[in-house]
Amino acid sequence: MSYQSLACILSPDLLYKLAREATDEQRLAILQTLELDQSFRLRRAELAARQVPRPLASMVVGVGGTPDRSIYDQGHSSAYIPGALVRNEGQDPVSDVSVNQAYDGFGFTYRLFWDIYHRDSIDDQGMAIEAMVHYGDVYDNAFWDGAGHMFFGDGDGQLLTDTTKGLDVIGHELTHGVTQHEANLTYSGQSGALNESISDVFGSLVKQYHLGQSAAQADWLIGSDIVGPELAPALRSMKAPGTANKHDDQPADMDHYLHTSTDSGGIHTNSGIPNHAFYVTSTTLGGQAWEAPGNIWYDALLDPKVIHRSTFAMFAGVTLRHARSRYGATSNEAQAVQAGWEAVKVRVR
Amino acid sequence: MRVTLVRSGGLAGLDLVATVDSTDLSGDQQKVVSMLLTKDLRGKGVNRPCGADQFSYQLEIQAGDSTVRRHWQEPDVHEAVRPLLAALTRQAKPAR
Repeated sequence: MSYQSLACILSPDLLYKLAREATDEQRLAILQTLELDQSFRLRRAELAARQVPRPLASMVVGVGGTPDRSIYDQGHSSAYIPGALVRNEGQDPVSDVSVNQAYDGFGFTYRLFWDIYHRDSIDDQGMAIEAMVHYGDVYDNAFWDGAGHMFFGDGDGQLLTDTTKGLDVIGHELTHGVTQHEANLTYSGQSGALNESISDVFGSLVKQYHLGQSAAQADWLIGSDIVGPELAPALRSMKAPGTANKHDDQPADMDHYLHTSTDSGGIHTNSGIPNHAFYVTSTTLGGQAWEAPGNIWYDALLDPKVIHRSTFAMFAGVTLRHARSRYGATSNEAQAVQAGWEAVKVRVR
Repeated sequence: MRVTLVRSGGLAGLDLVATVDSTDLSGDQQKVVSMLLTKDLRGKGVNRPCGADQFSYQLEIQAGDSTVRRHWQEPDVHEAVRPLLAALTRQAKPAR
């Protein structure tokens, strides 16, 4: 094998310059080096960014602990720009039920993340929580826009009703923001299904925490408060994927993973698998799901080893490592996590 | 022309499907369908960040022997296309 002296440890700028003056064979070697080099640089940058100490703001005693909510009325417009500001942080309830439901729901969501996981809002730096209600015309949906805002439709009355009524839905949407600021899981394929599952997990925990329910008491349904007759009784079931409504085709294990091109690779369908793993983990352990299981899942979400293209197996491995690290290698917690992933046939790496 | 819409994604992750004859659409909507045969109409939201739980739309137009497919993520939908998608969505039924 010839030694390509031009493809040693040289700066990218120098390599580009050399490539322009090189022979065809040398140029190919240089370009291959640059491609490989770029992948390493991106990975190092990603790891470095994830390992930067948390900004001091959330670590200083006395900082954090209070949400900063703003609720806007979109007036049934489909525009993304905020409509009229109708309720700000600290203001009294208004006459609009949807506005108050959004305000209260985000307050409860903030509480879970702060009280249990010591996270100050979406970005852990007190980011403003901005909700846009009455979005669109009979809009049967709610979404996170990727730019710090959450939009809520009033529903069409058949598929969905007022989406601000679902505390788990509000928690679900805010958690998309948390995920974006942490693992930033790519929104397609397994990583997308994981992204969706994490939102269902913490959305459900927001509701359980607010209601003071144990894992055994919770119904583990997603969206039961917002569905219309076509999707009753719920959008999804973490306890029994595939049974939430007559259209529910969520799988409960990897043997039934759905390969499809719609919904970015079935991300709202295949999320049933990690959802069920969390349910099994929580009910196996008993007690309150936001405690040990929630802490393990939250720790995993923040772990730099969970990258944007993580698979179920990669995430499962990180959850087990955190369970062992936090609670002990042979702890009930670690065994419950193992049981959760075994139940859905995800091989833990 | 035969027009088929598939709306997928959203918080519910439910695929909705509607198939209509273009003559059953309003005059304005038929014009949009004709435009889409030759133009990929995209809205101003093409540079918006990637969100979550938004809809995606796939529109298939069969005109004679040719078939044209257009695909949009929700932020990308052109304002002129929105009424057409809304009309088709109102007629759509769950795919499963």
